[in-house]
Amino acid sequence: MIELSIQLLLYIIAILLGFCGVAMIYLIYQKRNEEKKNHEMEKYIQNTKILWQGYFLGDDQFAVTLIPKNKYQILAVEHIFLSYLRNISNPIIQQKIYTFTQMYLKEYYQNELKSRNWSRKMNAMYRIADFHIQELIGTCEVSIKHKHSIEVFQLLKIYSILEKEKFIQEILLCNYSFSESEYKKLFSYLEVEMLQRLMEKIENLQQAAQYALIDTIAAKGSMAVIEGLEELLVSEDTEIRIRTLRGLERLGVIRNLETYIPFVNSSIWEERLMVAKLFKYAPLTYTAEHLEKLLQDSNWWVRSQAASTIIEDPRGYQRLKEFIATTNDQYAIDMANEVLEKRMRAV
Amino acid sequence: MIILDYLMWFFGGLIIIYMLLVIVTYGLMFFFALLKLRKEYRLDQTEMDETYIDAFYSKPVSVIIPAYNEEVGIVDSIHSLLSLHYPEFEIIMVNDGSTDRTQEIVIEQFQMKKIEKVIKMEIPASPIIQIYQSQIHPNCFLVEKENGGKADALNVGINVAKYPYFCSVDGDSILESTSLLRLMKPIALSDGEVIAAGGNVQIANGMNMQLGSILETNVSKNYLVTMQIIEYFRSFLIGRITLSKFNLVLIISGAFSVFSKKWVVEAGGYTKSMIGEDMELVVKLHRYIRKKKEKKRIEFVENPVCWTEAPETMAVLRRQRRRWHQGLLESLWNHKTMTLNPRYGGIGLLSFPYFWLVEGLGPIIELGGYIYIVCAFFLGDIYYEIAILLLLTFVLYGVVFSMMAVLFEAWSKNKTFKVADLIRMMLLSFTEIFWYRPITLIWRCEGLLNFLVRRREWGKMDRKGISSKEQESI
Repeated sequence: MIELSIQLLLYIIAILLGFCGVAMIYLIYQKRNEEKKNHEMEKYIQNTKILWQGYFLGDDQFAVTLIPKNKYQILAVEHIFLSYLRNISNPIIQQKIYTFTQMYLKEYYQNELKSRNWSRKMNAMYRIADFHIQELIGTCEVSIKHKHSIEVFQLLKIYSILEKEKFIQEILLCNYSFSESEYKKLFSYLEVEMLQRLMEKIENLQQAAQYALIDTIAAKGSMAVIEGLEELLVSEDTEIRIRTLRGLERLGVIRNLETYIPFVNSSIWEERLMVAKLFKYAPLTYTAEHLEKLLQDSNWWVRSQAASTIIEDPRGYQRLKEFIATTNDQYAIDMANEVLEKRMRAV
Repeated sequence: MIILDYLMWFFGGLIIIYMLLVIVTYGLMFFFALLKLRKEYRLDQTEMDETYIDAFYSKPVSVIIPAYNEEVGIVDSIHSLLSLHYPEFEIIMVNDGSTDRTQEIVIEQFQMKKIEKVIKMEIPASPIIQIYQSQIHPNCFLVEKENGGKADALNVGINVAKYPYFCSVDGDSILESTSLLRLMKPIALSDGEVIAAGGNVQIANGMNMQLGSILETNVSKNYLVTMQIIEYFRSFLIGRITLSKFNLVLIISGAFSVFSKKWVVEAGGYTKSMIGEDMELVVKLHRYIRKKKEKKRIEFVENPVCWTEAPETMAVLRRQRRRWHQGLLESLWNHKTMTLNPRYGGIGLLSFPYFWLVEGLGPIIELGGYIYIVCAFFLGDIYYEIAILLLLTFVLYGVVFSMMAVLFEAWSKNKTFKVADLIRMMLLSFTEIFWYRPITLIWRCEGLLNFLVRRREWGKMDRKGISSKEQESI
């Protein structure tokens, strides 16, 4: 029995060590390939960077030598294009990149999408979104058979960039669930008008999508959305109300102060915090009474924000001094002193 | 003689069964880790970095560096943090009563000025003496406090932190520029389901670094350090990836991890009296999650790397391992009621038994195995064969898994590894069971002994230095 076990273990160890040896040789071979690839890419970039620069930034004509001839050169072109797209926002350059990829790289990405290797397929989908290769959307749809959430997210991202109507249809179907950050990313590619269309059907969206939509629409900074947002202030969902207040604060406009007064007495501290923040967009003459109440709030963050809002007003310094002299609330006094000290230091 | 025979058979069988169980467990963990890494092999990671670099999609983070006598590495460490690619973060360096020039150097280098700041003491901690703010990097703060230990310094840092997530980084650690972004990815993408995440800690000895940036990755020429590198690969890549997949992680390194401030505050923050404060916090969080019946996760993320300095001498390594093992056992003992307790799900039924048997008590059994082999050669006869069988399990466990971990790491970091380093580490893996493994087992058994006699090594550990490097040099 023991002899058999020793023999068995010896076999196992020999096989595993053999595997390690083969794997090491394979890795060394791979490393050489990697170095060759890097060398080829570097060579292509060095040889063509002036030509690309002239083509993108100058008036130079497109040179045939720029067309990549093998996989390494395609990877080098990808590298150059991504550097331009991520660092320079210029519609002319973007269009040149999209046209080039459409003509010379489309076939390559089509083959990559058919690959059985998940990473290669995903990388191809990333590039389709980056280089706006609309014609490959159909191939993307076919290639994602397993409906892995990362693949679906990438497909929806491609829709949000290239087929917005389809994106709206898909997102309203609520077949998939993503995180708020992911929804934000997806919504960020849509124009304000599209977002407003989604706002009209906000209750049909998944909860994370609702929150992300409010945040995104506010971040777009369009005044056209204020009315739509104000309507959400009566929502029964606390988080929606808080997000809406935050969104309105980000937009930096108070149309009607009365709309916000009830939040000063809200039982939810986040609402009181947001309203304390929002009040910096109204003259202190109208908000001082409410802000002083918030300065004596039971919550530290609310007190801190109320003090910061007061000091931002030109008459805030004096108002805080007066407040310190008249109140007995030690916490509020400490907070007021902190912002006053900060102001002194800034001056 | 018959009694001796029975004893030899009994212990021989016990140790072999134990070793086979450990090998099967490691084999399964290795398999799951391989599946995960294979899937994402060559996936363009920069795509994700670009996607979430905007503050709109990410969450702000307070980076806390507890520092005690870190005058040598603190400036590089802060520089590496300042060069992080992350949209919104603040750096809070907590000087835990350093007796060297740590504070002066930081004040001078980053042009720190005293500020007044009202701090909400959400976790009980030592009082703050003074807070400073950098004039050149306004998001960089220095908190001066009396010496109270690493856990206390971290608790002070949490109280000062203004963002909903905090990242603890050791004063002698260097982060890669994308590390924080990648560590925060599971948190950003889970809508709060992931409440803590730990990154991959690797050894920096031998690296070419300047102003907190890594210029060249080299493997140290010191054999002791190289063995630790192999050990780190094995532990981080094989163990933690699989444990994380099933939400069974009990240890995320204090050298580089992110936590939700809200959850940590509710769980009571770091425990001052424990040696392994990082593990203790993770176990406390798991316990609190189950108590609140919330669906939360603690994850290990293999991409983000934090570089840290490893001990280069036997004496320093001995103290480190002794302390780590004592810390592990203290935490397990402190929460012993979670062991095999179905109320704690996988943590109670799988993690705790695994950590007790493999990590906690494993050194005694393994060391017993080594002693058994020596005895068996003296006794001869049938025991030779048992000893050979045992030795082969050690080869399988020590040599083969180490080699596979090295290969695994080289494969996943295809672009950066050097062929000469790979060959050197492979050859060194062969020697592990003959020197490194037995000596670390003895040190870990010393840790176990210290735990049993509640030894605190007053006079050494009592100084409560918070940097591992410093503690080891005490």
